[in-house]
Amino acid sequence: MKRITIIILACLLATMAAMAQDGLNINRLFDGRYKKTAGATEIIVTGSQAHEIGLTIYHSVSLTDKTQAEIIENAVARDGARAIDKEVEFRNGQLYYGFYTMPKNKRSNRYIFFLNQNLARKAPKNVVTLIYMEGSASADKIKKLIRK
Amino acid sequence: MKKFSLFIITAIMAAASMSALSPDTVTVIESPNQVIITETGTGTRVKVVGQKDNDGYSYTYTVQHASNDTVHTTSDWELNFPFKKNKRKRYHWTMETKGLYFGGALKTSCDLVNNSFNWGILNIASINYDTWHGQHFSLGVGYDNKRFSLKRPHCFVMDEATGIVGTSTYPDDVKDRSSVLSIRAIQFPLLFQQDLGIDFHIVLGASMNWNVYAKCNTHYKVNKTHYDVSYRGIKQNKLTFDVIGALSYNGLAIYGRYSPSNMFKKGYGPEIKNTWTLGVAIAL
Repeated sequence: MKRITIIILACLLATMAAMAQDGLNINRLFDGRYKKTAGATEIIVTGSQAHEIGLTIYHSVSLTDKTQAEIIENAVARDGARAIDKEVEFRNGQLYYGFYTMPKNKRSNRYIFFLNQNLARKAPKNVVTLIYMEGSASADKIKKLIRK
Repeated sequence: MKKFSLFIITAIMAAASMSALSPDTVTVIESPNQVIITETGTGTRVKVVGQKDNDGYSYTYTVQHASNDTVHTTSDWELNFPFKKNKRKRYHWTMETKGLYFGGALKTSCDLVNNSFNWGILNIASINYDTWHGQHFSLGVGYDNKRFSLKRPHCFVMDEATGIVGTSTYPDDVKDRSSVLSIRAIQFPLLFQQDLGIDFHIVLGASMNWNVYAKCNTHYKVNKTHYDVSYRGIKQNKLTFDVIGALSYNGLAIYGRYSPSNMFKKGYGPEIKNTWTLGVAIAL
């Protein structure tokens, strides 16, 4: 009996660790910490409006605080390491943009998009944007959606 | 012993799962003399030259982009927020068409008038000024049509020689009687609108009417013969003025109109003035 208990505990522990990995590093950036940050814009869309474009969750945050760029970039890079597909561009050693297709969550596709407009060539803007999207939409559709 | 083995296996499984996370730190070099970071199309190279007590120290670390990375070095990414509300440009000055209305007279100075019908478009085209604080001013051009019908047994008659319109009574034993004065005007309303909320607003203003066309039409039937008599060349007042008020909800309005001016020139017809009209308007 004790052996079974130990085996169950072992399995639980391993599962918990695996679950911890499954959580995205960017999640902590969406915990509402930027709600009172000057120049920050946070958009959360769920429901019918999101469904219209094949998403169940759309969550974006845009910041004008340069110091946050590195924090966000680090979190994105960590998640990006686990992406099943990614499109990135580095400029001056910094991540300019990254579009990451993450492993599916149940049946939903998951995407992370990062853009540091400080590194734009034509019209640099002091804006760093992070978007998390989840839904049935394909990566191509999402890219078309978020690119002018 | 078996228990101990299971415990070890458990610990290893957990540790293995946790270790799947990439380590944060590659190496720590204290007090380097020089750090050179080189960005290439395929990766980033960090070179450290010299250390506090070792000038000959050299360390190079290269990070290659993962082979499945698609690296772009092309144009800027023009970001589009799919759910961000597009800020519509606002202008103080605009042009618009508004105010299709239908109404009937509640009261007029002429006791012989039975009822009247009034319809038109307040602004076929107007220039509007929006203060952006809930007030709007407009000056436009529109169309107005007023019809006054007489009580039975009275009907309009006109002396064609003088153009004077009077009233008379129908012959005996007539049926299907109607006698109507119709006046068409091009109107120039000057309006003030005050918003009372998102959907509510009131409109107040005045209109100058250029009465371009007027006719009297008397229709009746005797036995089986229809008579339709039209009088044109009526001496209507070319310019009249109305006061307008409306209460609008989401574009649907109740409007009131007061016409103090006489419809006929003095001496050329019965006095039809001080007309109060009430009706509905859409897109106002």
